[in-house]
Amino acid sequence: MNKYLKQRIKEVLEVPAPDQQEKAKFLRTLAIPRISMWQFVLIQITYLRKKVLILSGLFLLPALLGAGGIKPDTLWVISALIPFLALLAVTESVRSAMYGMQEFEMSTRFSLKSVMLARMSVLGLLDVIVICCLIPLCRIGSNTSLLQTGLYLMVPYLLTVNISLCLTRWFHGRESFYGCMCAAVLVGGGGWMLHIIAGFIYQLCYIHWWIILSVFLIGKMAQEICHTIRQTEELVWNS
Amino acid sequence: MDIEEQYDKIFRYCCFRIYDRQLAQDITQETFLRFFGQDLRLDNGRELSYLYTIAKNLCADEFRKKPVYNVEDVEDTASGDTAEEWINNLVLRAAIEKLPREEQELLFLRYVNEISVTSICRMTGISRFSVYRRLSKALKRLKESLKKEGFFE
Repeated sequence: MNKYLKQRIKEVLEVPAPDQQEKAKFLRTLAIPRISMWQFVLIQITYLRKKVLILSGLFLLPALLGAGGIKPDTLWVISALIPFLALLAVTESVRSAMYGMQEFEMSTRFSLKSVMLARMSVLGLLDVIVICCLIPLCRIGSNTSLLQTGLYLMVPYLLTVNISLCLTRWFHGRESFYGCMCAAVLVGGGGWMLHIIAGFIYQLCYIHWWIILSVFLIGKMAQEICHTIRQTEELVWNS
Repeated sequence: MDIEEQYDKIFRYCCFRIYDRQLAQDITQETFLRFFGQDLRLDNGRELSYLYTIAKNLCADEFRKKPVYNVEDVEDTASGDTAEEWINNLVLRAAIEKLPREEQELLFLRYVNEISVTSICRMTGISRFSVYRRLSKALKRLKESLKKEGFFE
C-alpha cells in the first residue's frame, strides 16, 4: 500500500520537465568555478597557527643537538618529548571545539567536517615528516635499529593522539586542553620511567609486541578520528 | 552532483512552490548562478541542501513580491492512462493539498525529487527521526483521507 501510494504521489506531484533547449543553453553558459582539493587544503594551511608549525619544527632541535654531540639518550629524550608534538597537532585540529566555536564554524562556507579533515591531514603529514627526520637523528649514538627507533617514537605519539582525541570528545573548552596536556605529560613521563625501571622491554626480542601495539594504535587512531568527525555532525538539534 | 539532473529537480521544486513554469525556470537558473557564483567547497550532501536552500529562499522572495501565480500552468499533472487512474490522481492531489504545506514539501522532496533523508535533515534543520516521523504521519493522514473518500482501500 505504502509503495503504491508513494508511486502515486510521485506521479501526482511531478511537473513536466523544463524547456530542454532553454536548459541546454543555460548550462552551456554556466561557468562552474570550483576550487580543487589541493587549493582547499592550501587555504586551510593558512588558517593553521604559525606557532604550531614552528613549534612542531622545533622538535628537531634537541634531536640535532643530541646527534651533534652523539648522546646515547637522545632517543629517550625525544621519545619523552614526542607526546607534545601529538598534543600540538590534536589541539590545533580541534581548535574550534576548544574555543566553543564549533556550531559557528558549522554554518560557514566550508563544512566543519572538511575543514577538520584538511587540518588533521596537514598536521598529520607535518608530524610524519618531523618523525621521519627524527628517526635517523635519534638513531645516532643509540644501539637500536631504524625500525626500533621508529617504533619507540611512534608509540608514545600515537598513544597521546588516541587519548587526546578521546578526551576532546568527552570534555569541551579549556578542560579538554588541560586533559590533553595531562595525557601528554603522563605518556612522556611514563615512557621515560619505563625506560629507567623496565628497560628490558626495549630489547630486540620484544619488537613484535611494539609492532602489534603500533598497528593497534594506528587502527584506533583512525577510529578516533572518525568518531571526532562524526561528532561534529551530531550538533544538529532535534526540532 | 549531476547538474543536469539537479536542474530538473530544482525546477520541479520551484514549480511546486510557486506554480509558475516561467518564473520557476528563471529562479532555477538564478539558483545555479548563485550557487556557482561562490567558490564553494561543500560535502556531497551539503551541496544539495545548499542548492535547495537558495531555491527555497528565492521562491520565498518571489512569493513576497507577487503572491498570485498562474496555477493552471502546473495543474495539468493529474493525468493517468485510464479514466480510473485520472480520477484517482485527482482525488490524491486534493488529499495532498489538504495536508499542511510543510508535510506536502517533505513528501515532494522525498518521493518526487528522491532526496535522501540526510539531505532533507540538512535542508530543513530537523533530525532524521523527525523527518521519518513527519513523513509517516503525512502518509497516514493521506491514507485516512483517501479511505474516507473510498479510494485506495
